[in-house]
Amino acid sequence: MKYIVGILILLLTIIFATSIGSVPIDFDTILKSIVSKLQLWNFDEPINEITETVIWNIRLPRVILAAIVGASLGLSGATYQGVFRNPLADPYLIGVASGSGLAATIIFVSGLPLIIFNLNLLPIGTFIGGITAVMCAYMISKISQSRSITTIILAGVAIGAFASALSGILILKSDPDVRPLLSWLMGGFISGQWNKVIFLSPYLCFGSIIIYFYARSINILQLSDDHAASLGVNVRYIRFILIMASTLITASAVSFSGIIGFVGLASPHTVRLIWGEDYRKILPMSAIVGSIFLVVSDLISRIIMSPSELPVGVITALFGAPFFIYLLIYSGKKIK
Amino acid sequence: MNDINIDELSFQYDGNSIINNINASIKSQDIVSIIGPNGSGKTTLLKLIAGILTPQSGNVLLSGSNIQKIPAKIKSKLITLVPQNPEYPENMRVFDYVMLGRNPYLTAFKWENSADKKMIREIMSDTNTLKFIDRKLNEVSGGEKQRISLALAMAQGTRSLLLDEPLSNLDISNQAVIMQLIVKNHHERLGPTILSIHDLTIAAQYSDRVILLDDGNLVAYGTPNSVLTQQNINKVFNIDVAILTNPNNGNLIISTN
Repeated sequence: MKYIVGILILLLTIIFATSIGSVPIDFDTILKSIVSKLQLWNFDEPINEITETVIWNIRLPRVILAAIVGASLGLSGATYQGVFRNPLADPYLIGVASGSGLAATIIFVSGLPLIIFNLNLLPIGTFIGGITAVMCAYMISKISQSRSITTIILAGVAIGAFASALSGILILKSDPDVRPLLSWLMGGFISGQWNKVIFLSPYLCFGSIIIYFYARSINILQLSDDHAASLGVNVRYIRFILIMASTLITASAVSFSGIIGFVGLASPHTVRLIWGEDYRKILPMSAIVGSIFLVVSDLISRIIMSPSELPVGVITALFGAPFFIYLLIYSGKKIK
Repeated sequence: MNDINIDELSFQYDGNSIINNINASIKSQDIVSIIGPNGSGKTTLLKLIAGILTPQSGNVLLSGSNIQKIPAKIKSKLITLVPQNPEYPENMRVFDYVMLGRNPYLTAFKWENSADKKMIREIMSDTNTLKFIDRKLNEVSGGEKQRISLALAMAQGTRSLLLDEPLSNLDISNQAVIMQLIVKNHHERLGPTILSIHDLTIAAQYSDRVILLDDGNLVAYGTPNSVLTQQNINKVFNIDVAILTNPNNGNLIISTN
């Protein structure tokens, strides 16, 4: 039931976000346009061609892209939190996003062709960058022989900061002509197009299937490693698979939207506080909540200072942080 | 038979010897307490028996099979270890937590069914935890958490049960409640119950056999009366004790002089 309500709210949010812009389009028209495009129904009076273009070529791809990236970040955040048994884990904090960002920067600055043999290098590069970052964090926590699972988060924060610094240097040193290309690193969907949506969707689908396959095991990972092993869970194997899958999702999202903080942290938390700690619910609901969160944030980012746009990451932090703090205080009070 | 045989078991960590050449045969009908000072290797021995750690030499035989050779999923139906101070994810519902114990019988495609749910309710009723079934774990007390974690272990339905300090942080009445539950559950299972414990009087009262460890060595293994002697305790714990008898039930009471 909550999934149906969640998806309905998401769809309404998507239509609402599509309706708002320099030329307002009413709800009715968008619904009609979608219905006739999907060939579910033919309407007698055709919709204005310009309106049609605005909906299908400008607004909808951007909004859908934001929805997919939001779902990716929410889902991978929930997975990282479950795998590392730490509520602070999110793609941004544990360095995955920055690692992916650095890899993308290197690809742009080096002038490598983006497409070789019909293969888009960007998501592959960002995946390698993200995996390298999370593996470094993991190795550091192993070498330090710390028993605390917090070490991996702290190591991730350090690696993320280091990767961001390197990206900054590379961007400053780069050819001025390349710099505009790098503006997406700040996070945003300014050039949202259908080809990006089509490209990104398989990564999210593939990753979510793998992650959901292990959803019940993530619940058991909330116990200590020894306890989970006693319950017949192969802790190291499952942790490895889940880190790979969520890094793949994060990296593909970063390669098209840049680094957007807070969605991966706040969405799973919100879900956990409302619906409790069962990852079979947390995973899909985090994806839905992350999706709604990012569609709304993207909408705000393009209308608040119209006609100029704010990076969407600014909005996720600006509105997400106070809401999140409110949730933390409220949930703290409920527990006597 | 579901006996556990410990055969010349040794374990080192970072070059330090933690468990030294231990031999013991544990009968399926016995409740066995492992006692010894802090750092004597009680937890390590339990993890070795459960097959969570791999010994450098020696074997643990579960009904005659080497525990290291039993596949994880099958092993989790035969033996389990409840760690000291288990994790209690604060937002998890008590019912969902106990249900984690059914993991050995579930797969990615076969989730818990109504039979599992019914079983969990029965176990929760037996452990007197049914009344907070819908609460979150951060809304129950320490004594209640111990009962919940025991319920999780019981839901796993293993023949052998290992418990690492199940009485830590409990008051005297909760200690008795937990021990009585452990004894009752022991009689419903086919295999041994092995627990590490600090309170020598409780160890004497509830166990059939006692293992006394000192610095990774097995000092004595036998009935409480034969192991818990002034001489043994003085040797291992370096302290003078009086061993009295409870006039009401004949149990040993161990008290420092």
